[in-house]
Amino acid sequence: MLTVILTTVPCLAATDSLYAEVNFIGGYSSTERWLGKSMSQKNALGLEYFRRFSNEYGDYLTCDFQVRLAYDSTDPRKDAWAIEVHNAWAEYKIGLGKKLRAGHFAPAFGLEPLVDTHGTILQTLAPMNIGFKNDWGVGFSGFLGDYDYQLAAQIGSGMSIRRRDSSCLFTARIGTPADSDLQYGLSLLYGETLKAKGMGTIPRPELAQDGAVLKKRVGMDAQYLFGSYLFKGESVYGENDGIEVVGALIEVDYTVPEIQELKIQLQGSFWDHDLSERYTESVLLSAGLEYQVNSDLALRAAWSTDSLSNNDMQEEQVFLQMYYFAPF
Amino acid sequence: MTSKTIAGISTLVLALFLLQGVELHAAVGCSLNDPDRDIKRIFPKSTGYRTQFITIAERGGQPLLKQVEAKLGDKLDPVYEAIDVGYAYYMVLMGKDVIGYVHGVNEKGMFGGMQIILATNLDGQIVNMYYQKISSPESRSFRDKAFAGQFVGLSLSDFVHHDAIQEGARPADKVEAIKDPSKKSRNDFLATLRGVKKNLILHNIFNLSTTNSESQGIQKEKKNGTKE
Repeated sequence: MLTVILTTVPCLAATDSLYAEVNFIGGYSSTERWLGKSMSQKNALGLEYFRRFSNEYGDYLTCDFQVRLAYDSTDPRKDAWAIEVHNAWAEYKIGLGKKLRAGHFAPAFGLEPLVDTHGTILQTLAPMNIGFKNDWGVGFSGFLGDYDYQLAAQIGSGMSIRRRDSSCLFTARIGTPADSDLQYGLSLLYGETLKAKGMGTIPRPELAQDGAVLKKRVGMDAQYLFGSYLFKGESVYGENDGIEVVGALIEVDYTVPEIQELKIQLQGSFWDHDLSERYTESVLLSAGLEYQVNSDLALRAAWSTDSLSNNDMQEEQVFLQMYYFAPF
Repeated sequence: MTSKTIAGISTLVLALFLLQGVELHAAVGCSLNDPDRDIKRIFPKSTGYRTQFITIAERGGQPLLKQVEAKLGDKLDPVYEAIDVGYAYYMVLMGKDVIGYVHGVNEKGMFGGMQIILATNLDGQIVNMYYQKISSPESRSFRDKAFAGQFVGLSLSDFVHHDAIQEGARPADKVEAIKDPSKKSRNDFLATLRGVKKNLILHNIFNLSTTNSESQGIQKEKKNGTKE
């Protein structure tokens, strides 16, 4: 589709941005000792290429491509390196306020499409809820009166490209615009998703289970900016193969007024993967510090404790991260 | 696929990007979260817009940075206002015709960052001003339309005029007439004035002719018999 658009629309101008990304992360776990990765971050080198195409009537096409060469310290040495494709989408404007997107992008559900978690240790509920943050497919977005909406139809495989067991993912979100102090949204999800063992796109990681899981969800999310505090929250309820699940997340970010490069974050998340059984819930509490050294470099530290109620196993983790993201 | 093969592919991809020789832009300072919605609201007759990212570094480097600081009367912050920060400009179109601009800047406030967006006509006059983001317990007062409405009709020449007047009567000083809407956030009000002025300075340098609004402002000063 992208090729067709590029060859049929006259291009008068294009603006480009190419960024380099370096992600160093390391940590310590009370149960596994030294760690070389967090739930969503690995030691990696990356690139992001952003390009916007315009003609005499305005912008008509935007493309974004994020790729990382990542090292997974927990994999055997020969399988430790993988190419991760994160954003890889083209968005075609079919009128002011109506956009069609194709490629690899965040499903239209919850906080994830609104919050940039690409380089952060703290994440939204998406990895726990859907199983991944981005998926391959097509999407449509627009606005209806005072509300924005997004729809997405994706293949349910996450980072890698594959279909098995009729895997698919349909999501929809409607919410308030992103420039008000209080933002909120309502999301729906239906799909059969695959669960992979790793986050790589090339080579494709093995599946954690053979078949797809039938997921149905309804979710709510909200963000509220008050002075130096940014409150974020989301909650979901639904089913995995007919088993009721529920989850919630709340986060408070505090920007230190006197040192605005410094941010303190507190996050708590809850997930119960079977409401009909006891002791099936897990709770994750996290605290983070983020210091923006300059426009290119951020230093982050995070502590978290994960508690699983079924066997009282508790794990504490500490991470340090250096994240560099700058234009070439 | 082995690790060596993957590393090789990655190096090749990196090399292809570097050899492409495209014009590149830096990190974006303040782009609109939802430009379609904002532009349609402010310019109902618009049919589209063209986006451009411009940095001080590419348009003039350190000499231009000094020039901007001199006009602003203040130093630019090395983190939030770095020389390679790309400022987003939305050229608003009706068909093929340009009917205005929308442009934003980041500004450091008392409690965190603020994003100040201006919509201007072809003469550089403000037709709309709003905060895309403001970290303030009094954000409701700052976002009030009555406050934002005081900026409508102003251009860079009004800020030049404001700076030129030091003592005594302040004839036609429209900037001085703007009322602080807050009770305890005077510095956020002053940061807003700084952000609006910075926004107009950069827009005039990047997009409007230097003989346009700014020189008109100087001419107005001369007509009014005030200092240059």
